[in-house]
Amino acid sequence: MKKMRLLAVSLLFLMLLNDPLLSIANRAMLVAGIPLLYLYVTVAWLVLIILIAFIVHQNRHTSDTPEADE
Amino acid sequence: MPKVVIADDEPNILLSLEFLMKKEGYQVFIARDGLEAFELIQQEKPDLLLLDIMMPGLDGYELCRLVKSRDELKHAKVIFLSAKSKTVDKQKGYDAGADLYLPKPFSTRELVAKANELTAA
Amino acid sequence: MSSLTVLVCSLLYLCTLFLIAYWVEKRSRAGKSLVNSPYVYALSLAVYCSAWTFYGSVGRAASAGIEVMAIYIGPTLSAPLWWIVLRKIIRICKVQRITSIADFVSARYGKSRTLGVLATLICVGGLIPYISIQLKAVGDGFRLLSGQTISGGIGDQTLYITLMLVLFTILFGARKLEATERREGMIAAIVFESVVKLVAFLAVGIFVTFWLFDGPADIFGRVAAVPELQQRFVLRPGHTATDWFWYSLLSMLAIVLLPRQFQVAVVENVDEKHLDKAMWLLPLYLFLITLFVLPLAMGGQLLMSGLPAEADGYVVSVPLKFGQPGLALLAYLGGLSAATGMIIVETTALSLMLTNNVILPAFVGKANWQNRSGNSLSGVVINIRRVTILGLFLLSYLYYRTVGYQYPLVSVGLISFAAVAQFAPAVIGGIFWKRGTYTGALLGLIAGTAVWFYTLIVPTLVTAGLLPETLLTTGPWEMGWLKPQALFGLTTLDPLSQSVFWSLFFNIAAYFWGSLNYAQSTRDYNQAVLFVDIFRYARNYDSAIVWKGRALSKDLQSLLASFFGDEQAKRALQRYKQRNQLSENARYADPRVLTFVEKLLSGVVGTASARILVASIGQEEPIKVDEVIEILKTTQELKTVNKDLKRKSSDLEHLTQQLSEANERLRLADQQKDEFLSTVTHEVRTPITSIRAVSEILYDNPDLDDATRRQFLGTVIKETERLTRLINQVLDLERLESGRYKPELEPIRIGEVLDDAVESVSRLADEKAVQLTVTSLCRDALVQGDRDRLMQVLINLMANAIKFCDASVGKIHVETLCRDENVLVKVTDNGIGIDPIYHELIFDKFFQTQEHPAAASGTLVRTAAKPKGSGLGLAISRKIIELHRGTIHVDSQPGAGATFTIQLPLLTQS
Repeated sequence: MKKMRLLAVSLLFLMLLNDPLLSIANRAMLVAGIPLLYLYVTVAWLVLIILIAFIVHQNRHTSDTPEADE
Repeated sequence: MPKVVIADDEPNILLSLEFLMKKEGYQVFIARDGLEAFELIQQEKPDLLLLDIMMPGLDGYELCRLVKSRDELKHAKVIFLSAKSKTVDKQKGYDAGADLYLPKPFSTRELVAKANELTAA
Repeated sequence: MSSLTVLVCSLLYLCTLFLIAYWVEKRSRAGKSLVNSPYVYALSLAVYCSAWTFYGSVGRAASAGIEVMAIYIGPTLSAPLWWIVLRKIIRICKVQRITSIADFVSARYGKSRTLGVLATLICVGGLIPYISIQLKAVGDGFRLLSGQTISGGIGDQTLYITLMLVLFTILFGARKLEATERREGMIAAIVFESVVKLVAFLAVGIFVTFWLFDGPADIFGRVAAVPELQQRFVLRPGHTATDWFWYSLLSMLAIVLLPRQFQVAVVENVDEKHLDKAMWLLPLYLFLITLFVLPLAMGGQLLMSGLPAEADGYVVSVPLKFGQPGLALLAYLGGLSAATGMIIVETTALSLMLTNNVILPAFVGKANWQNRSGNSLSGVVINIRRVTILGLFLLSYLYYRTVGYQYPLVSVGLISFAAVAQFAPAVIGGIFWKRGTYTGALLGLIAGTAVWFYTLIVPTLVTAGLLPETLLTTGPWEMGWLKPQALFGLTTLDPLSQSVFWSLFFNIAAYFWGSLNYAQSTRDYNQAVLFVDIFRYARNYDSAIVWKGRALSKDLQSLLASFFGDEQAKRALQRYKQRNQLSENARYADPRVLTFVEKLLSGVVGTASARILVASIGQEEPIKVDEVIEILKTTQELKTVNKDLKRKSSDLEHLTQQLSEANERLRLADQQKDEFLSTVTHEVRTPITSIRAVSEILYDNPDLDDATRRQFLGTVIKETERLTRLINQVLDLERLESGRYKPELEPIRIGEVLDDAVESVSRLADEKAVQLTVTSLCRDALVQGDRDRLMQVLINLMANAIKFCDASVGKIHVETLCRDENVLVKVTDNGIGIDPIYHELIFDKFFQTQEHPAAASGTLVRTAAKPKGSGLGLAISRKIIELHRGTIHVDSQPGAGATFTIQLPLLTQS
């Protein structure tokens, strides 16, 4: 379960942080004084980190079984 | 007058053996088991022993070995009279130092003849 | 700031590293490990951020905007996959004692030496420039801070720092013999450096953003006013989002495949569970250290415009320019820590590779190497590692002094990333795809590296003036489609991305083609299964025998001893044998022991060398593919099958036992029958002897007196009676034992039976003047029984009692008692008694005439003096009582009489 969630998050953000989605944010404009691309990348990145931490710690207690190996 | 010690736990056999040997001119001593027999032998130093093998206490083989190991006793001739008739039993008897092994039921004539033969020699 | 001050600070900083490393190693030797923590693990992974991050990313951002962030986002994107990929690699390396990425590739594909050498060369070739740019970064930082140009030769401060690093790496990177053992001192120093560089970078970032400017919005607002700077807000022209993908892919791979990353993430890993925290802690670290990159780059450009300052040096030059020498020094030290951390771990990892995969295999292949080196091989191995560390530093320094300084930091770093990315197909394929073969890996690596060399290295050679410029502009021999930076006319990607694309394309294609078209060797397949199914085999790895051969036990031990010393080798082998229940003194070693020794040696000299070493003392028999498959299948199914087998074998054992018991019973019965027959014969001989002797006397002596005559005839009669009795009893017993006799059961009063029995024996008692008394407390009790048989038993017991009592003084007491569901009949006499050792035996057939061990042992048992009778009476009695579902036993002490007790189940009581 943990494995699947992690894989899903990885794939989702691989798409969010790449072409073609990235090219949407790739324009020279400022949002709240911050360049859009920079803002988008930074925020997405932070969300990804928080998601990973969330998944890892939510599953902490169920992942120690031997089946987690397989 | 030659002395004979007869050891057997069957009173009827003792009865007949005693009669036979007395008639042949032996001085007869009767024992009902091995230990009693050994005491008699030490005391009387007989010339002939007629021994049963299966007796309570000291069995015939042991008794024979004991007698043959004592210098003052070993001149005694030993005849085993036993219901054990197997070759191994006979062999054991001769190994223990017996001069003759007669399986039961034995011929009284043969016994008397052999006994005389042994004591005369 | 004077260069002496900077030098002293640098050296002081390095001394701090020494102290930390020394202290931690000391603690670890005392059993207090400080590195066993997920935070330490995550921070050690941050060795990923080298001087290139510290100085170079700002420089890159200044010229190309945020594209450099892809290098740090990549690891974050791959972090969730670590649980799947990295954990597997860690497990494999722990089980197989793999010490480096080259060792890993070599081990996976049949412990191939060729692959080990190739992988090592790729790493060394790809990383020497990378290490040298760290030296360059240190030098540049030094120059910036002290405001001097670098002096050459002896006076070069970079050289001093380099020498300190050599010393540190040799001391803490090549300390222990076993390469798999953790270098706690080194890790502690790396963790310290990770903290220093993060703090330093954040300090400069905050200083520039919030002191010199009014926050990021201020910086970006001002930048927006400068058109040529505004372009940095987006991906630079010619750099598309596709390039961004290749950059992030490259860094996704590099975070695991770079030798230093492999070292800290896999080899130095203490606990797989640390991955959990590291999966988000490291990305967070990367996020923080990258957060100020763009503001710093932009701010730097605004502040330093018109000044001859390289963007690579902003972190030091900006604070310095704005009157913050302390902050500049901190920034410099942060850069120094980033550089030294990378250098230390990278050289350690490379030296391990070089030693274990290139140098040692060449040595150990020679048969007389072990003999020549005697017992000090451990020293030799460590020294070789130290020499290679020195050699690597020397190479990097030379590269730095001759070529390296011409290039910006990031591009060189990316070239190294692209080099190690070539391992990806072999490694990822290796752990998930069993069909990946040695040939595939070899071809893939060669193809990928060749393309990498052509597309990334050749252009640098052109820049250095070693190759003609036309190569890049018009292609070799005027063939435009062969231009290194636009191979096959691929122009939509930047040179690096197209290189990564083409090299991985050919690499993967060759890997698959080679794997599918060339057969896999057995050893290759064996390793493939062990790698791919590691989680299944990790627990019983030892039983997956990969050796089929013979080696003398003592050879194995002396081989181990030459690396570990006599004592340790002996102990290790003994422990292993005990654990696996192998014979301690077998002349030839068990295959499992061979595998074990090979694994132990792998930790010291690498898998390929270990294989050669073990092969040198054992005669390996070629192992057939199906044999391996069989072995592995067996291992795989071992657990279930084992359980089944255990159960079956215990069933079988049980059956066998039952059979042998039955057999034993039969044999015993047979023997008993023999004994019985011979005893009967014997018993028959005795009366016949008497009869014959007496008859012969009577016959030979017709003149006997009447009394004697009568006595003798009486004897004949008595002995004949005895004979008759004997025959009857034998027949009786035989009938009882064979089961042909079925007792005619009817309710009978025990008292009545007893009365009849007493009446029968009273004459006998009177004859011997024995007193016979009866107390019948339970005379009306009913039992289910055969009246005649029960009476037979009672008569037998009473007759025996009379027989063993002395005439005149004998007393016999018979009583009946009701107890619970049973009726007891006790026959007590005051006769000679029975020794307890015979209490059971007397119920056996012919006990009295048999020879018993106890009787023959010299214990004189007058008490059990041969009684008169056939010796069958008690045996028959017991049989009868048993047929009535009762019991019979005796209580007695020699000289104190005896009590026979019969117990019968009550029917009812009236």
